[in-house]
Amino acid sequence: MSKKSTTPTVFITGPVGMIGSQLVRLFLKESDWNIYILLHETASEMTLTDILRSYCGIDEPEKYTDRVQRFHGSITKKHLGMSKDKYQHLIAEVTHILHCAASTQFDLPLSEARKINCDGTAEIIALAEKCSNLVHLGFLSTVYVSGKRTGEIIETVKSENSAGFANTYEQSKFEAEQLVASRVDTLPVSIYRLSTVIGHSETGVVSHFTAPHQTLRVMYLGLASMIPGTPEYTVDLIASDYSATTIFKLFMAGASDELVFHIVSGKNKSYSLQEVIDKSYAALAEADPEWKAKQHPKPTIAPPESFSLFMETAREANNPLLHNVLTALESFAHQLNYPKSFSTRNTENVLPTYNEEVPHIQEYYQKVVLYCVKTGWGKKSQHG
Amino acid sequence: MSIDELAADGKVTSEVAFLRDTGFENSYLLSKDESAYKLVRECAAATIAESSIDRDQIDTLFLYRGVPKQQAKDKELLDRFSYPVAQLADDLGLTRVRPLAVSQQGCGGLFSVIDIAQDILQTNSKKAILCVAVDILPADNREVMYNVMSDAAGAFLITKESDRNAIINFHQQFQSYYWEAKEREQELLSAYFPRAQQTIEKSLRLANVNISDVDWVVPHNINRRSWEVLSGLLDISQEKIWIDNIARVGHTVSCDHIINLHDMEAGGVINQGDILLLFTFGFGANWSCLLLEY
Repeated sequence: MSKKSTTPTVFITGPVGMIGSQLVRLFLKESDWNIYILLHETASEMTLTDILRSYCGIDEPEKYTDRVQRFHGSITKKHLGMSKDKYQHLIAEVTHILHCAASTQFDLPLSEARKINCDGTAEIIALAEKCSNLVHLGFLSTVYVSGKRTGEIIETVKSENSAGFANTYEQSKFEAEQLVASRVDTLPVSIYRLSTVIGHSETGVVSHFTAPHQTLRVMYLGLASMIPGTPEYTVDLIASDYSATTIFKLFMAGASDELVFHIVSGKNKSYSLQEVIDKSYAALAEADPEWKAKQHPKPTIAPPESFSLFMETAREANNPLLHNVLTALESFAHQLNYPKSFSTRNTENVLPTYNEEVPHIQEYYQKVVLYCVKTGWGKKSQHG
Repeated sequence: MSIDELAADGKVTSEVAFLRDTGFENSYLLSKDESAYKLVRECAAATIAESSIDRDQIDTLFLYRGVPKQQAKDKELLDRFSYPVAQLADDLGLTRVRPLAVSQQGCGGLFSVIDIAQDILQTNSKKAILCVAVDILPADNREVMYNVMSDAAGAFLITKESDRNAIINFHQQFQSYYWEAKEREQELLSAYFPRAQQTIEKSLRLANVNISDVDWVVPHNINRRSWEVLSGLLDISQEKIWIDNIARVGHTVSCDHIINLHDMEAGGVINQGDILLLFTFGFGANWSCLLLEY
């Protein structure tokens, strides 16, 4: 009996990313599936065991390497930039696809964001359409495809967003969802929309430093002057491990009639903007007494107009450092001016205890801050 | 000098368009036949003359300089003990005054002097304290942190029995971590607004005064844009911030409020009973808010 007929094979893009790496770990630990991972050409010098240990947090990677095959390529290239043989191998073997690779940069030009997030998704869909044994295609997205909409966001794919988007990341992911949703009648697809991933709930480990981490860094550097928003706005942050576990469970439950699933912390498990600032300063002071002694003031929460005026002045004054800092703060806060909540009905239908089990940010935020300080926001070894 | 002339002479680093857009037009540079001492002496003499105070009722003469005067290296050691504040007391016939020079709090030092003077008068039988300030900056550099600077001197009396400008509250915050102004310039720029907002709001809270009760904000004449930002943070109308002198005078180290209050009074801008909010930031660093009832 061939392996193909008995054991599913999942193809994971973005396997060294914040969520992708956790998913690889879960598939190895929690299933007997074969795993194909798509790595960028730049990762060709790393051994598989290094990747599994460093990115996926697997202690004894040697035990699992026979279940993992690595493929080098790029989602932005035709046939993922692979040789015909390799691509055909994928088509023949893959039964499941989890498309995690994406650009999460907020400030890319739209054309570049589209190239990675839309064209890349189109390539994965093209692969899926060729996989005759495909059982399930999962697509990682963001709850912020809702863009500038406010109020309750439900788990559906809207064909247009007249409210617009706060940045090119949101827009390109929205457009990528359209591509996925357009195949709902021909492919077994699911869309997993994530909130902002902050770090591991048990270890505090952050594998990718994004807008909230950069905001924390700006605070640490004493350069956080103001953040646009309102103090009571909810800042929905979610743990990477809980996110990955939820995606894993939803994915393993199989494709269903429901297309979209929200994975968020929700208001009751989140800090407000003022709390994020207060808790950040408390955690930074705890992590670094020398920093505490400097007594950097907390950033003020500013009306958007005041923030924009300050940012514009920094630009006109040819102060690139200050302007870049304010840009980072704006990136973090960009959604706070469009208050909204996210329905998790579909997620709860599959995972009834989801909302009870999602950890409150207060359970792990300090660990994340400590990790950021200890590693210099990824610039130095944690043990260095 | 106009900012165009300053730019032509290489005395400012920012673009003229930016300086103009943020409110600046002119800078006052000390002429060759003037001196810091002459300026401050004129201001002090005029202040005494305008008041009805008996000179013997002045307890202390405070001379504040935000930028310490460079000592000439070729002077005799004894010359270094020839103090301008004592010279000023002598010149003004303030024979029973305690002359005291204060420095190194940037634009906020004169506010500290007011606070100290107020404390002295509370436990002193004399009636007044004379506060004078002067700052002359190098002629070849007229811009500090995006602000066009002017040379200036000023003087005022703090008295027990004044019929105007009663002190309602004074609040000051310090953060000596920022003592290295050049090294920590970006951190200072970042700390400016949060600390300014904190200082002002705490002063108002301590005085039990609402921001809406403030009739006029008397600013230090830094760039207008920063006041527009701060007005948004404080939720106070820009109309209440008296910015007329930013273009005309520019920013002096410590005399902005003296000049502004004088000009507001002369222009009939303020009325009896008006609540005035005076705010300034000084290197060192310090943030100061003084609430007055005119």
